Amino acid sequence: MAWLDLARPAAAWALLLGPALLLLVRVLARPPEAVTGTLALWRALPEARAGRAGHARFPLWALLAALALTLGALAWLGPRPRGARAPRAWSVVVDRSPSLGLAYAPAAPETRLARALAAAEAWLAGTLEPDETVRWVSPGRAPLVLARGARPPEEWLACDGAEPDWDVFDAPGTLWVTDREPPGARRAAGLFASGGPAVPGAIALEGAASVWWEEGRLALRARPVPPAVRVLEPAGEPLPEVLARLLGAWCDARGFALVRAPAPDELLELALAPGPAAAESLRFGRDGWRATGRAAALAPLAAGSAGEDWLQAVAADGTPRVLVRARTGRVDVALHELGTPEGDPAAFALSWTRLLEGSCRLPADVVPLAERAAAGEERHLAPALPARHPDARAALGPALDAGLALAAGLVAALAFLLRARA
Amino acid sequence: MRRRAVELPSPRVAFAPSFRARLGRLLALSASRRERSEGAGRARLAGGGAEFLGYRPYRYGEDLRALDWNLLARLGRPYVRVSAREASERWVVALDASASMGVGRPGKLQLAAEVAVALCALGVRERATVTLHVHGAEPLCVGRRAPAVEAWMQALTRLEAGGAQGLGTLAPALARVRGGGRWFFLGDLLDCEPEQLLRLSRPGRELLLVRVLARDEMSPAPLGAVRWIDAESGTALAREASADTLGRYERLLAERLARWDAAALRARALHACWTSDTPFETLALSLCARMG
Repeated sequence: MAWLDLARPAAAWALLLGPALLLLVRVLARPPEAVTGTLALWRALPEARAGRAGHARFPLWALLAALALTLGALAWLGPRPRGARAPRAWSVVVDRSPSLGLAYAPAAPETRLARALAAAEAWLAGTLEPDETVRWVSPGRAPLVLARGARPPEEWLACDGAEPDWDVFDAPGTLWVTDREPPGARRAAGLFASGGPAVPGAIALEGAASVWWEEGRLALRARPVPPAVRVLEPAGEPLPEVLARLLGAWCDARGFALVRAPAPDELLELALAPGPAAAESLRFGRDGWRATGRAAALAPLAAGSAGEDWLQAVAADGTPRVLVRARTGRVDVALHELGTPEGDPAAFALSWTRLLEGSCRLPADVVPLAERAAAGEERHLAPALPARHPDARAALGPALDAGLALAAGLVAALAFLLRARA
Repeated sequence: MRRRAVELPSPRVAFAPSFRARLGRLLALSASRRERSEGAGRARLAGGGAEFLGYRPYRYGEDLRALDWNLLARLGRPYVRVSAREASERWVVALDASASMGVGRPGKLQLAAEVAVALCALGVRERATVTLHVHGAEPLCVGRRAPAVEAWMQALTRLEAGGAQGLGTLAPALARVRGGGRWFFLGDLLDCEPEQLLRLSRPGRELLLVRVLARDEMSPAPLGAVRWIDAESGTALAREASADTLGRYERLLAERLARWDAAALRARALHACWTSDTPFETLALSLCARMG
């Protein structure tokens, strides 16, 4: 029933006790039979009441006893208004590390993530109640709360993230979706690991070539087009010359193409924040170098957004100013003017090179060797079921059971008294 | 109403081991009563070319030439002389073995069979030829001598109450049976009307209609609602066996019995009713008293 839940549905068979009692009473209460030779005389007499009224009439005590049995069965079943039970807390923790984006098998079109997700979703579909929801969690993604049967969008599931900190999510009702069993003891969470064999392919970039791993051997393979670093400059506002020279030298050394238009294999975008630059000259530095310059304003980092404020300065009024912000695949620069760095010139170059190297994203086809390794066998382990947190209506359940049981007892006593007097 | 196969309470006849002893005592008792009522009736008197055996009460329609006028003058009651030839008269015992005779505990057929054997023994003692008719004019048993009683008992033991062919059905067949000074009809007489049997009355023939009913047929117990099942057809009726209904039932039965009594009286026959738990000696002695 849409409006009713049963605390102990397995006791439903007890509802048959009442009708069974009435059936028994009817069988036992059938009028006695007598064989006679004087039926013609009996035929002249009026029909018996039982025969006239039919056999469906039961004595009151039997009806009350059946009612008592039914009430007792209801008390045992434990009826609860639907919604009286709070939904359970379900979570799916998705590992979006690059290995999940690999094909599950050499010829299979589905990825390890798709396979693991399908198994987890099948389990959820068979376990969750219609009104329950699932909280989807993955590092670098805002959590999503979705209805049963819904799946996060594809961009949310893109395999460009990191492995979750599994221990944080080891709780009842939590499903780990990954390709291999995480190290460490798993206590309450469920595991839906796709497993899968090793996947040969590019594991690193070496200039304009890829380092190819296959059957335990490494080889260099030229890429069709060199990877690109794209510079995004507002119209009429170029990068400071110092930075432009440094960027060009780094791209030359790494074999990357420095472009200002979209390219097919972009590793990094370096974007100059639109001006105008503030009139105030700022002094800033890090990693052993210092410089002066003028900068525009970078918008504050939105909550939940990835990014690191790599270079900051303090304005004359004491307010901090973010000058460079970096995240994977993008570096935002607010510096419109940059003076010659002071100190060891190598420190300046090394500091910025580290920033650029650390911010590059890998091309989609390049997956680290550890990710391409075999993930073992496929495993599906259900989590411990989460506890319900009953609300106020659910707290009435035991009282309702007790009331039904009491009513059953009273009706049974009344039936017994009537039977004794009959 | 529903029809179904009926399981009869007492469909068979079984003679208890004590039956022969009881039968012997019955014969002795009936003989002593007859001696007391008739005096030395068994004295052998010569005359008439026929062996004189004794006297017996005069029956309606008999030839007045057999009447003993001296005894009439002395005792005030009519008696006829019984010769050996006359004593060899024929007794006809018609026994109802339909399904309704299997009703009662003991069954009606049981008492009727015991009475039939007693009549056989009494008839043989009176040097009569006793024939037992169950299915038609052809007798099931014939008794002329004392050992015939055993044969009757064996034949009746093999008998089983069943079917719907009662005395009402048997009567037309018995019309073909000639002679017979005493005709006994043993049954519940529920399947026929008095005229069906009484039309067998003839001058010099005495009809004795012996009705046997089960105790529950004569006076049912107040059981409340009861499904009454006809022994022969299996038809069932639900009727209340309450005090009020039982009173009406007993009135209906009494009316029926009274109608039979009146009809028998008009035909100078005997109609009497007993319950199946009556000792057969009681019934036989009553018949003996009637027969004289």
